[in-house]
Amino acid sequence: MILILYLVYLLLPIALLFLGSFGEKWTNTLLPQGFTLHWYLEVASDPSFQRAFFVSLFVAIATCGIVVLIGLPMAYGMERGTLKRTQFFTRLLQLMPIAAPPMVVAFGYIILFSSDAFPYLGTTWLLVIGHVVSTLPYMVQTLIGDIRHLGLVQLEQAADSLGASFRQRFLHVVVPTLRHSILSGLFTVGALSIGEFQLSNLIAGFLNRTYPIVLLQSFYNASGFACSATVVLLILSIVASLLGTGAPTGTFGERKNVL
Amino acid sequence: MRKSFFSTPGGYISLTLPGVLLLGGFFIFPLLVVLVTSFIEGGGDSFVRILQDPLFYRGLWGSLVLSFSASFVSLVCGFLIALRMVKLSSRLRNILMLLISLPLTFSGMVVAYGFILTFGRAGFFTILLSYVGVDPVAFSRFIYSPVGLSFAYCYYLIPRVVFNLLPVLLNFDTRKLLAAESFGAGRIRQMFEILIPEILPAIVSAFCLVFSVAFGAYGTALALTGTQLNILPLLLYSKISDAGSDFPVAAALSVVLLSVGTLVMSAGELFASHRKEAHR
Amino acid sequence: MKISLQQITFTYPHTLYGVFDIDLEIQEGELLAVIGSSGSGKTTILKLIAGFEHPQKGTLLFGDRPVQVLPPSKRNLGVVFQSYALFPLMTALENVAYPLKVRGVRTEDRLARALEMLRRVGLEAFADRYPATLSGGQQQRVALARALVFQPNALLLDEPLSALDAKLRIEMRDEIRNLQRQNGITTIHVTHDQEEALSIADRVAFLKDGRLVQVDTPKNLYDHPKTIEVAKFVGRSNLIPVQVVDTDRIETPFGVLSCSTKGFSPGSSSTALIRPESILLYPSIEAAQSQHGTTVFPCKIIRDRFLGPVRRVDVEVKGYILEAETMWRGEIGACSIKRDSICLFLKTE
Repeated sequence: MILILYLVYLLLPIALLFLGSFGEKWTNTLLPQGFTLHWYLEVASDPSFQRAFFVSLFVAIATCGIVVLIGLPMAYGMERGTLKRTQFFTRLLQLMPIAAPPMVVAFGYIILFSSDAFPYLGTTWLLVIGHVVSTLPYMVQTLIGDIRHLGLVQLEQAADSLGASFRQRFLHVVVPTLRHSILSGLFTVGALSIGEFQLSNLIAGFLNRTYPIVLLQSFYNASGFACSATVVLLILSIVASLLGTGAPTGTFGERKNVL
Repeated sequence: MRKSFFSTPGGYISLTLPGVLLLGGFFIFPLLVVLVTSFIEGGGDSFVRILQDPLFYRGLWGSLVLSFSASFVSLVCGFLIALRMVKLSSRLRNILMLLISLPLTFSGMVVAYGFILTFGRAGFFTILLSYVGVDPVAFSRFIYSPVGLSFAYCYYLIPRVVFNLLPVLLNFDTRKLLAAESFGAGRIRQMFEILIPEILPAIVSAFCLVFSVAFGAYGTALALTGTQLNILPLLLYSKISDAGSDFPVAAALSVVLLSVGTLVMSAGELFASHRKEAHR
Repeated sequence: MKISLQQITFTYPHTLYGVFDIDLEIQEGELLAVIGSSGSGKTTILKLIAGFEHPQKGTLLFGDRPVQVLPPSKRNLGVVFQSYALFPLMTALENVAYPLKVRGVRTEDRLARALEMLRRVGLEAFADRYPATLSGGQQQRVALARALVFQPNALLLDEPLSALDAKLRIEMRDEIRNLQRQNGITTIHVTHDQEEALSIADRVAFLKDGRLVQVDTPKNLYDHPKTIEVAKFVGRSNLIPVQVVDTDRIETPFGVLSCSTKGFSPGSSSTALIRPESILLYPSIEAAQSQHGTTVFPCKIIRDRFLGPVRRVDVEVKGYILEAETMWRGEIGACSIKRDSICLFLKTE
């Protein structure tokens, strides 16, 4: 019973967004009336949405690239470093972004990068770095979980005893074994980056506003337009997150979210 | 022949350097800058100024009410959902996990508009309720209050609670409940005297986690209410986005947000690790 | 290759666990089994030899060459892990060929050699299968083939059979022994299963709390254990508190037994070890006396377990309970104890 109630609560808003995006008119009625696709065409031809869509896509892809380049060695190093407090540092890394609200980090950026010394506020690269910082802990955590789960340390010891060098072990054993985890982590990082609002909204410039920021402005338009603009973002998130959890790693990590 | 550099503990740790530097420079350092700004700039009286501002107290109260009710409701719902999921087949459970995990990657904007459509002034649910005699205006006034807004926050928080509690509940040996039952304990007693005490660390840390998330978030609230609602994150948002903004005061507010989040999280962690050690 | 451990000491960081002052020499071509309860340090010794851990003190020699500073990849040892540690994304053949690949052996050569090795462990038909699709015993064979294919200096086996079921375990024991003999390769076999150790090893080393207690042939370890712990760990035992009467007799709770008491002064107390199979059982006192002479005790069966080849009984002798094993299936009313099967220890318990 509680499950069914919960699923209704979970899925009803999603269903209504889809219905609303195809409805011609929806004012003070239970459900929208008429069927049309023209809201989608309107969103697609809106120049600010077009620009925002490509900014978001670029930021997400760049974020993914940097996160994997930094996150993989970091997770591997943390797990293999036989550090006394590895457990502690892993947990710290996981909790840091939750304890410090994105808005406060963004405010820090505003103070730092509106200065004359570093006038980078509003640049796309700062946006990317902000996204990298907020998604990196998630990636590292996913990888560390799977390094343990898949017994990578022992596989590597085996390769080591068989004569493989560090480079050979990394390329023949570590990367292939973790490929599903990396992929799954990347899709989730992509989903998080595309939906990110709290940080971007404060540090993006007018010309590189991301999709969610532009979307917020559209809430004051006709409901059909707002619905279809929202559905675009919704579909991107769902696809990325299904691809992410669909990659068969067997572990469900805890995800970072962006409220 | 010496060992290769990367096989030494120091070598492994050096692999973490790029990540550590990035997080240091673009996460820790900005937070320090905020801290320094709040204490030093603007004559150093920024904390005194926010303490004299009645808006701060209203915002703090609103935030506490919103975060507390949101986390409490999420905790109860999440616990019951996780408890129910333990009994499902692992196949069905995995499908459900997939569905439940969806909101975690949703943009705050998606959820905000979904809620406007469902519970807003002319929302689906609001209109349904009006058929049974609930005044839509009164209902939407409730929905846009701190307590009502917690209903929207639950959308993200319940999945977090479920993901934190489900593994613990799956590991719980249900034979202990059967044993209690054989001694004559009823369902309620079993839950409150056997199950909950044992998983209390997980419950407390899940609560602290969702409380901190709720306390520092502003996206959904902004999309739903503009800056009308009296909560600290929105107060800070309007201070930051105002032209000619008062940085020291905004920094002081940030420090309050940051410390509440950090304190609550650390309290949760401390409690959980303390209990773990006591049981060792 | 001969492996020598000289005064090796290692403790895990921030703990008191480890191994202490280990002196051990494994001869060329020898199979040494290392046994002990869990936490005794047996796997640690293996890790030290393999190079996964490094001793804080002492010398490790391969032949005459000190190797403490060599990384595992330079030690040229074949290691078989408890969980096999097969690479999940490589086929059986690729797994076996991997050590040759990192040694730069040409593709055709290494595949041919790997296939030959798989043939020797009876798995050539499974060359293209992935580890996840192989049974436990097959994975075990692949792991062995992988550890042997590059003709390593020595073979290190870390509880290789513990994940297999009882029957397969016994088959694999012989197979390991055969492969080891064929290759004439120095082998260290870590196990918690004393029967496994006794049945395949040339010598057995017993560890307790990180220290070597006894290194001996299986026969000596069983017949002449150095301490009560060894006696308890290896085989089944009756441990009886006794008083030494004179040079030839001891007083037990159930009567006087004749046994050599060399090294013990009359009047001192001691513990006697009597293996279950050296308690001889008879239907009656008369039958016993006709076969054995004087030291015969009447006894009564308390518990009777039929194990197939033998029968394990608990018998009560004047209020004291002894465990005995016999192939005799008939009635039991008396017992006697062979003089030379009694082993005395200084009382430590």
